[in-house]
Amino acid sequence: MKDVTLTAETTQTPEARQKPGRFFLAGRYQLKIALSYIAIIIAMLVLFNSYPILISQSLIFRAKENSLSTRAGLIASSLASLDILTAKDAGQIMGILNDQGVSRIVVTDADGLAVYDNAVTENTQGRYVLRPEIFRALAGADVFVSAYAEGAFESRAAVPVMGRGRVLGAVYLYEYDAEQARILQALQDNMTSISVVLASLVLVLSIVLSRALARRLSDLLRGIRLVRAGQYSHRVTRRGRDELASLADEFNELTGRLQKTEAARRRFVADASHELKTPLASIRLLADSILQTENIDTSIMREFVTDIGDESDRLTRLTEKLLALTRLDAEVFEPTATLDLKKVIVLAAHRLKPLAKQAGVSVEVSADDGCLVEAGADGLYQIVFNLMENAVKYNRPEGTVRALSFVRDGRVTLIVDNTGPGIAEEDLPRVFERFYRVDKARSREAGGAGLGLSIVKDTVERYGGDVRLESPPGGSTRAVASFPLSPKRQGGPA
Amino acid sequence: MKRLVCLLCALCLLAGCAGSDPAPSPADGAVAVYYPTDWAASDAQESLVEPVWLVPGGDPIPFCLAKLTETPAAEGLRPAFPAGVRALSHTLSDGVLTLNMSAEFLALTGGPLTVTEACAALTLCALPGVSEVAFQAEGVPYPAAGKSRFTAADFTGETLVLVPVETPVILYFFNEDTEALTPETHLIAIRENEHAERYVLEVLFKGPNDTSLSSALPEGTRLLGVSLEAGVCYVNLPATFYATPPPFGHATAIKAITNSLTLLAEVDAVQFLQEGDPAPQYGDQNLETPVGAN
Repeated sequence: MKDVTLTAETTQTPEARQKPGRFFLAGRYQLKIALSYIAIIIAMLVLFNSYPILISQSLIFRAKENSLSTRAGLIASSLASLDILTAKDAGQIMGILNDQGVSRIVVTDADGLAVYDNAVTENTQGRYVLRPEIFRALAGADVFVSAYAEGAFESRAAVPVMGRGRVLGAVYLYEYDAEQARILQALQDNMTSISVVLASLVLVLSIVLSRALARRLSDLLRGIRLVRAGQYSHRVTRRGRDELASLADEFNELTGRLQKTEAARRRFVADASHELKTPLASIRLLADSILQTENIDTSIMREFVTDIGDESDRLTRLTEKLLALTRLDAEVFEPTATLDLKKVIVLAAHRLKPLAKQAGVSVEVSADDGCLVEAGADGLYQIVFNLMENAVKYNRPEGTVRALSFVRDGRVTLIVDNTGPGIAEEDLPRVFERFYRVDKARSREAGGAGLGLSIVKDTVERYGGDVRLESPPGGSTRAVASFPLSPKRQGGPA
Repeated sequence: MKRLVCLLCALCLLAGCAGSDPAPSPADGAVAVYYPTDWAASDAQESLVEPVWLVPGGDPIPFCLAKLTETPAAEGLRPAFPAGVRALSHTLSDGVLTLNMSAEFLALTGGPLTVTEACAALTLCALPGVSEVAFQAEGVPYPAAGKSRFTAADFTGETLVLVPVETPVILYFFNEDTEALTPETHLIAIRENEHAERYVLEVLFKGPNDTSLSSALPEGTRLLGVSLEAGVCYVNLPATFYATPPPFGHATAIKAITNSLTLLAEVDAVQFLQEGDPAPQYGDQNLETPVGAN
């Protein structure tokens, strides 16, 4: 026969077989977080490095355009007084102007012939300068071009010399500026070093943070796996004060509940098997006695066999009750309907007549009409019958059992009184526990196993009601059960 | 069927590739015909005129004259002889090619006239036997009051920039044998009108060419900045310079810098700075005020 192990088999999942603390999923999550931090920061750093530089460049271009155009314009207006731009006249005026700055200045006449050029080498004076900037200026446009390359700003400007409403020539200016470029380069270098420092800080920070986060997650994950494998005593360490800490708390509570449930289940199974053993042992003993006695007296044998019958009856009752309990546990429910409690009480009283007569107990019923309850037929009958059976069994000879039902404050109340010995105060809270018996010897004799009241409680609570036992001093026991009054008419479906 | 189509496509591709020959070179007998670029359209044009190499069928002069009137095949170029302008006839004598231009030529003035003249001159003067081009219209030189005869040398298409010029500067280094600062000449490429101070200092920090000389300054000296104002050259050095003892004494180091700089025409004295602030005491040298030549 296959061994039924009480603990779940510890199965090793593929993930769990990896090194502890390095769970596959946790590693991926950490990577995701770290990558997203890094991606954001890289994007920001790229922007940080490129945008200010571009803006600075364009500002400098604009400044250069202003300054070059102004200078070229100044030269052009000085020359505008001449009728024709000749080398001699232009040279004179340029000498007076004495322009400063790292620039090349070329002045041409209306045909593009250079009349002045301040270059020491490759001077173009006396030749036609075939440059688009100059010819565009000769056509009347103001030209400006600037570029930042190889560590310097190179800018060119060309403006026409206008005199008496016509173009006399063109002024061309070229500027080479390494100074501004150096400042810009220094700015760029500073930003690069700041970016590098920032990037490394962020890298470190993101790894640390993501690892901290992922470690807590992987702890939880590991905890879940351990509990799933059956280690209900495992608890997760609570770290920090955020949602993950709450998650850890919830996990621990859940596991605690699991552990309690598991313990209760084991206890139930242990108790059940213990209860089953007793009648089976009796049957064995009786059968052995019969078999071992050679010439057993027929009447004694009859007696023994009768006892065997009684014990097997007890077994049957016990197994029925166990079945009822497992059904309750498995939550397999019969459909509910609107039932009249009075009818159930009357039926239970009728069924109890033989037992009552045997015990010498009289049963009184005082049930009001209109006690409608939403319940299952079998379940409700079980409740009423169990309570009334208990009242009959734990009674004194010539005693009475009273079953009452009435409606009060929107609730249907069932009271079962008896004139029995009563229950001690310390036992009262525990009577509804499974397998709990107040008077062990007496109840076994009476055939009970301590399950009836727990079935009653579970069923009452399933129908939205509650039940309690009262035992006033001086004897007698009273069971009080109350249910919500069904708003529907009798017989209707739930 | 599919295979056949593929084969045909491949053949067409090959034919296409074979069709686009590389540009002809002078070795093949090609001539350069100059065309104006689209310079009027935007500021960003690189040049005013561009040569296109073509192989003339027969006599190059009529070929070029014809080509100059055509719109060139290449992108972004315009005809050298605009709308209606053409050479009605031409004569060549003593290297002078006289072109008798159409009446439309008279309508050209200023920039556009120069462009046309330039394209014609640059193209034709490169041909054998032609050294000068003379323009005429209706039997008379045009422009009447200006230049009507051109050679290729009359034009230049060079970009007008400041070309760095190798300028000799004198720098002072230390001679360990004579235990004195010795001058050494270096050539520095500076643009005209550019300030030489920065370059002087950079080369001074690099060290001497002559292996018998040594730099009077600590190795790895870096220049933070330099500026010139009213004859005083402000030299900004990092704190590490002032903290490191120089190899041949503080006085020598200061002298090396000062003497090298004051040789420049525009520098009378040198004011030392440490990272923008007034320089601290440097050995036995007080650098609070500008240091003159020594």
